[in-house]
Amino acid sequence: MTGYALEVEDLVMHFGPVRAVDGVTLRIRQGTVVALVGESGSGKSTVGRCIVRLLEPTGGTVRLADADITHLSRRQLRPHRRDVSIVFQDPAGSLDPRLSVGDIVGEPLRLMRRKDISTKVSESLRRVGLRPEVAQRAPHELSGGQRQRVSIARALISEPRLLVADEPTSALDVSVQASVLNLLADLQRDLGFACLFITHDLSAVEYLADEVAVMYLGQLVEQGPRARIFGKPAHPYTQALLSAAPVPDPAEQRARRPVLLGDDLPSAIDPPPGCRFHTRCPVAVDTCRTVVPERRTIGEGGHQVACHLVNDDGTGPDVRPTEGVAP
Amino acid sequence: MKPVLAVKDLSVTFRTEDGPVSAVDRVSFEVTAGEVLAVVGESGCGKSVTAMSIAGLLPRTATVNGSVELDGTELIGADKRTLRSIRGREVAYIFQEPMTSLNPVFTVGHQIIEVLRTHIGLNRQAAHARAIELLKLVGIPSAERRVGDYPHQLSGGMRQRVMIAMAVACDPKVLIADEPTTALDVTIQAGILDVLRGLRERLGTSIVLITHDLGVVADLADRVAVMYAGRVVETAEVHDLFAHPEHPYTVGLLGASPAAGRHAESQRLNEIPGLVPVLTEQPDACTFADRCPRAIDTCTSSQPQLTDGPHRVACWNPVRERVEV
Repeated sequence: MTGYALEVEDLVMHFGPVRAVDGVTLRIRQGTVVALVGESGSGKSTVGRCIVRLLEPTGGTVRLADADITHLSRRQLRPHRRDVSIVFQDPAGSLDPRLSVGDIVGEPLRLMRRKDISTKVSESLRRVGLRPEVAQRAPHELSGGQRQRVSIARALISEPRLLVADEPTSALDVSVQASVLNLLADLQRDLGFACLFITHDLSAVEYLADEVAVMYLGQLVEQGPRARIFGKPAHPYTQALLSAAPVPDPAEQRARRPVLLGDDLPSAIDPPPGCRFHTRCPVAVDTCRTVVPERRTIGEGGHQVACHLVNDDGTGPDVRPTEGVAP
Repeated sequence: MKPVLAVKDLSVTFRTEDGPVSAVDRVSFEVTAGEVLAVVGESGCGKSVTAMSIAGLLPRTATVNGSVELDGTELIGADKRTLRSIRGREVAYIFQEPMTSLNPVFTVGHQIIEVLRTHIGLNRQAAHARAIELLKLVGIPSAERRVGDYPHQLSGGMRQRVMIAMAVACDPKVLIADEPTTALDVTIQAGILDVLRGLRERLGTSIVLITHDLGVVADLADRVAVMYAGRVVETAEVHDLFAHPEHPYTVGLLGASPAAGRHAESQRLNEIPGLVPVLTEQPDACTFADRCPRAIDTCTSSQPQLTDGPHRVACWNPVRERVEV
């Protein structure tokens, strides 16, 4: 055992001409939470789908607990299915409306031909804060938050080593979001699974993640421990992203000055040469337009960045305007 | 100061197959010139219905009672001609999804020019020049070229900027922005919020900002009205509301959003147990009582009314301890 629940090496996923994922390398240690952050179209969900093998990657490797599953057939994948589960954004769309909650939650075990399924279903429901009687109900009788709990109960019933959570709280109201985030935090601590938490919500990242990986246009631009990324973001894109997310505190929010990047996102069909972020980067120089930046380690805890302008000791440009100064 | 928009005792009930549903119950608020009022709440609290009822955009299954006065003109029960002359000209809307609000078969310039010709009666040439000016106002680069683009040629953020340009084309007194940045990424959202701020500063437009995002409220609002199950439960100046929330629902909502530097190990998020009720009629009680940690006997037997003053709360047992957060 390497101590990693997941190792993704140079992952590539192209859909025809669309280069959705273009060389992503990512590792998740057993029992830790890594947040994969990025905006719409960055390719973060595609990475998640490759990992649970809903998609067969175009290139690179995906290793789950030391087993290479990159190109396994459906039959060959079967023994590995219990090692990894996924929870989607929209619980209404990912639960079969014709099945009872009990059937939905127990389905993974049935496919593994396990016994005692109903006991395990009750246990799993109780673990996510639902009464076992909910097993008799249909998904449409439940609220959005309850449905997301059902998705989580199903995902965790096979005791996976890795949970991929793809925007699990984005479709929910703030107060419901809070209860699902608390639940994920509790379950992760108690059951000790590793988690790839895919989201665009930075406040949820800070709440849940041990490590953060930031994606832009199919590639990782920066990754590292949570405190480093939030405290000392090195990549101009990470800095811009953090500065743009409004905080729910009027005094603090009004003292902040977001970095405005412009609205035009380059296309993943014809990504910009050199650094893919150079078209929107406020500090880009000539090198950025021609030379692809290598991923380098710049600090403790595996803080890595792909930017020409960041020095080896992690110092470099800060594109954020000085905080607290009126415009 | 005399309010530009005064909503008083506004109630909306929908006829549905399962009987009547009360969506908005005696909502009152005022917006003064150049003020940004945020109406905050979760799905189903009635914030969008309130917004739509202002200029008569609700379907015929809705029964609207109460009063909405725009600069002294009563809009509830007004005839179609009055409403038509006010919509777009005095009150303008922007919605969450710019793609569904723009016509895909016309250029954005054409659509802005149409607004200008219909409402202000500009000639074609003047309208064209004004359209370019408006696109510049909302921060669209190379506006002279962009004016000939079709909506699908623009990014989501650009489309929302075009929507704002159309909305302010006739220099409306009130702009109603219903979740204007919810469909956008944060780096794009920051730009749109900047445009709205600019409109208020440069044109003095009053803005009613409908949102569920407390970060957006903190960024832009002057005053906040918190809605729950069809009622306004608290309204206050923005700094005061965030620092000293008095309604237990507001307290719950603020505690539910993760703050900077907050991790699960050190500090759990606040949960509000239970669900938002769907009401066939509004009871003579506090509708939050069964989810409220501070509920007392009175809460289930009598409806609390909003107090008077700058910080108003509808609660029988409000939070008055001034705890520094």
